[in-house]
Amino acid sequence: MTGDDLVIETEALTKRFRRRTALNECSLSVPRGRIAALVGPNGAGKTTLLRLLAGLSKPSEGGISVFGKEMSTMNVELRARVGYLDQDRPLYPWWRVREILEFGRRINPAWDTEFATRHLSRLDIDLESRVRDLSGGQRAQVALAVCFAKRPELILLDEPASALDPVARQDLLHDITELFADNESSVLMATHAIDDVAAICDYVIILSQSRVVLSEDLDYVLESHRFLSRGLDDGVPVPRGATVLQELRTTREVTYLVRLAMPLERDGWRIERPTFNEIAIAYLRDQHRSTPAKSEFGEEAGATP
Amino acid sequence: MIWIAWRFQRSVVVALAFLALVLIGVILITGIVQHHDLVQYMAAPCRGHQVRTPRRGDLCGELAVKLDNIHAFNNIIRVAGYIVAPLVGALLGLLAVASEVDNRTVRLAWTQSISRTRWFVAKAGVGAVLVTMILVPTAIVLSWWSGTIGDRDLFARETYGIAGWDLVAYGLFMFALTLLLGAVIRRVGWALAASVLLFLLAAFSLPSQVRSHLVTPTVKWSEPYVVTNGDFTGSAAPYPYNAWLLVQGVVPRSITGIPTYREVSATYPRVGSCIVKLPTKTESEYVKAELECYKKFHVENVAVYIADDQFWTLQFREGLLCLAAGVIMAGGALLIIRRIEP
Amino acid sequence: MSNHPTIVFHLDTRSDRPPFRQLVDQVAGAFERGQLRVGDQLPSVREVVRQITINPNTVHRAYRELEHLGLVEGRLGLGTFVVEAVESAPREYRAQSWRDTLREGVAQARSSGVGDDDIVLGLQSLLSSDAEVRS
Repeated sequence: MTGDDLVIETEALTKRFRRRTALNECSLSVPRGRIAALVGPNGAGKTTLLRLLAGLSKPSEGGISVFGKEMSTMNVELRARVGYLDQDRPLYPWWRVREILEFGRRINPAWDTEFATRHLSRLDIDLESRVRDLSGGQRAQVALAVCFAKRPELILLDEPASALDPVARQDLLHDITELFADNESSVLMATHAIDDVAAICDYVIILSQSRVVLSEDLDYVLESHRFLSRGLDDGVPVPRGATVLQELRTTREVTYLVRLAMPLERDGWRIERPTFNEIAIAYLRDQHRSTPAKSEFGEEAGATP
Repeated sequence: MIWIAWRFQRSVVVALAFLALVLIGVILITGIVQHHDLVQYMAAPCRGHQVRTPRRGDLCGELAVKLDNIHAFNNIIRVAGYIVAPLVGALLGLLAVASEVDNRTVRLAWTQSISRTRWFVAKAGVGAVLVTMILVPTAIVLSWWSGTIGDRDLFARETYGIAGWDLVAYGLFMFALTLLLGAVIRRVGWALAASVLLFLLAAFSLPSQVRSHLVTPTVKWSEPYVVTNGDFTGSAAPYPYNAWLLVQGVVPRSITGIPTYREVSATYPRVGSCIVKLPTKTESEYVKAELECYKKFHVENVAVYIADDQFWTLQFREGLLCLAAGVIMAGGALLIIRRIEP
Repeated sequence: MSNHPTIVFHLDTRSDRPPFRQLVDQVAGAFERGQLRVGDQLPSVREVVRQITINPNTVHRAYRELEHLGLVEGRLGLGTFVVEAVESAPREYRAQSWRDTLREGVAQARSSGVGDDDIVLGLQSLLSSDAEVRS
């Protein structure tokens, strides 16, 4: 993969605030033309990462490039190509929706008013109503319309579906894929709803405790993780190239969730496919014990050939 | 971006403009009525004659009482005149930056295809124009009022701050101050409190510390005079009634430059110690001794003051000073805004 | 061609089967059941995305996989069509015989008193333990 194919690339990206480190040496990349999910618990640094990518703040250390160019708070040309939906959905409360769209038109060169009005009329949002009179979900939709009508090449969404009811949530995810299909754009979507990821995303970044623990193609993630089970007394060692992420014991059986680095030799193991949900939770749990999975279990796997 | 800045400030501007119009209306209506009474009172047959308790039907007495009673009302107008400029500046300044940063709406504006510099310049520019547009008519009306009604003198200390174009300059100064503090503090309430505090500080230090350095004061020498039994000997007060007196007293004539209070207070003890060596038993002896000592030290009476012919020079320089400070503060606000991480 | 699509996909987001494989399975299944016939045009990626909430890349990938399997053929500028598949389609999707074998197996299990739920469970674990591994 060459640098040209990456819409986002960060190198040892670190962001410190006065008291805490929100991102710690994060290196990740997102290929062009993907819907990438940014998964992690609250406070993992998802929002911080998105704000850095949107050019709202600057890194304490490390590099951050978007479309192969250094992103900064000053880079207007780059910011024109990036759409950003903040988690607070900031809008001017006493403006009318129509005026919010006018705001977008006057401030963005590639603005698509027609798209925005079409999107909002389909949701029965009156353009003449004032923002402060809208419901939380409607406000989120207006903010989203502003983000999309900018026609960005990279769309950064911070918990896009969080304020929405299940139907609106489904519709929104659908809108994202439709818009994505219409444009030559890439999406990075922060979420803690893992089901959303499985539905529309094809690339996953897992962030936990300010660190990147996974940044890969979703299909690859699904194909490279397996549950391995055996009887407690079987004594079969964990296969070579398998890194244990999680261990579950019953009275007679032990089950490992492993990450595979090479094709599996199936001697004595019962093998099952995990869902993305199970994989993601294993990574997040693993970080809670604050031990890097790869090194610790990698050695164990190597030591018992 | 200009439309955006205008749309953003529109409702507050309309409210402030309405407030200013009410003030202008009140000043004009009551002012014209008062002016009419005043002209009548000053002309024949009253000629400004003071009457303590007028009899019924005494036209002059009634006019005098009427003009006397309206004094409290005029004080309200004077206070309103002092408040209006910083109020307009503060509200528009806070709205332009602090409210946006406080409500996080900058996250919307600063992720669009526009630089923070352009965003700020448009907001500050439109805001400054609006402040000016509201305050210029207000300043004109207040100047008229100060010159004909309030103290009937633009240069009077009580009305100087609400007369002339400096009213607009104070408004713009406050506007820039709230831009800066809004960017530094990022909370509307605290930024307002800090701005008011700093503005008051500036407003109080301006007359005492700054104004005397802005124009060259008039220095007027006169023969020393001596007070005897409540009667003046020598000339009357050697400066105009409405002048802003900076220094008055006796100093040696040989002094170069503009005499200061330090020189005045250094001179008195010397003269004093000279006097006590002479016989001062009787009043006439004392006067004689005093004049003798004045002569001995070549001391003369001096008055250093700013005269009302300096009014426009002072207005111009003070206004320029406020505007320069405003530009510097706005520049500081821009530098901070470029670094804010909302 | 009618306004209705030739096939309506659905996606099980809780499945451990990758989304693109779910689509491949659904096309192959529809073909076997006779709901898709040779010459039918599959909905375009755009149409699928309008139908259901799915990543367009997933649809692209499923169609590529189907092409690779020989079940469909992409015709430039026209769309993706189901093609004569007897020769080219791989065993698993071509032969009907495995269904017969499965039917026999189910009958055998039932006759020995195994409930349908258990049969499904058994089949599932059998399938997953056979899951191929990519590295």
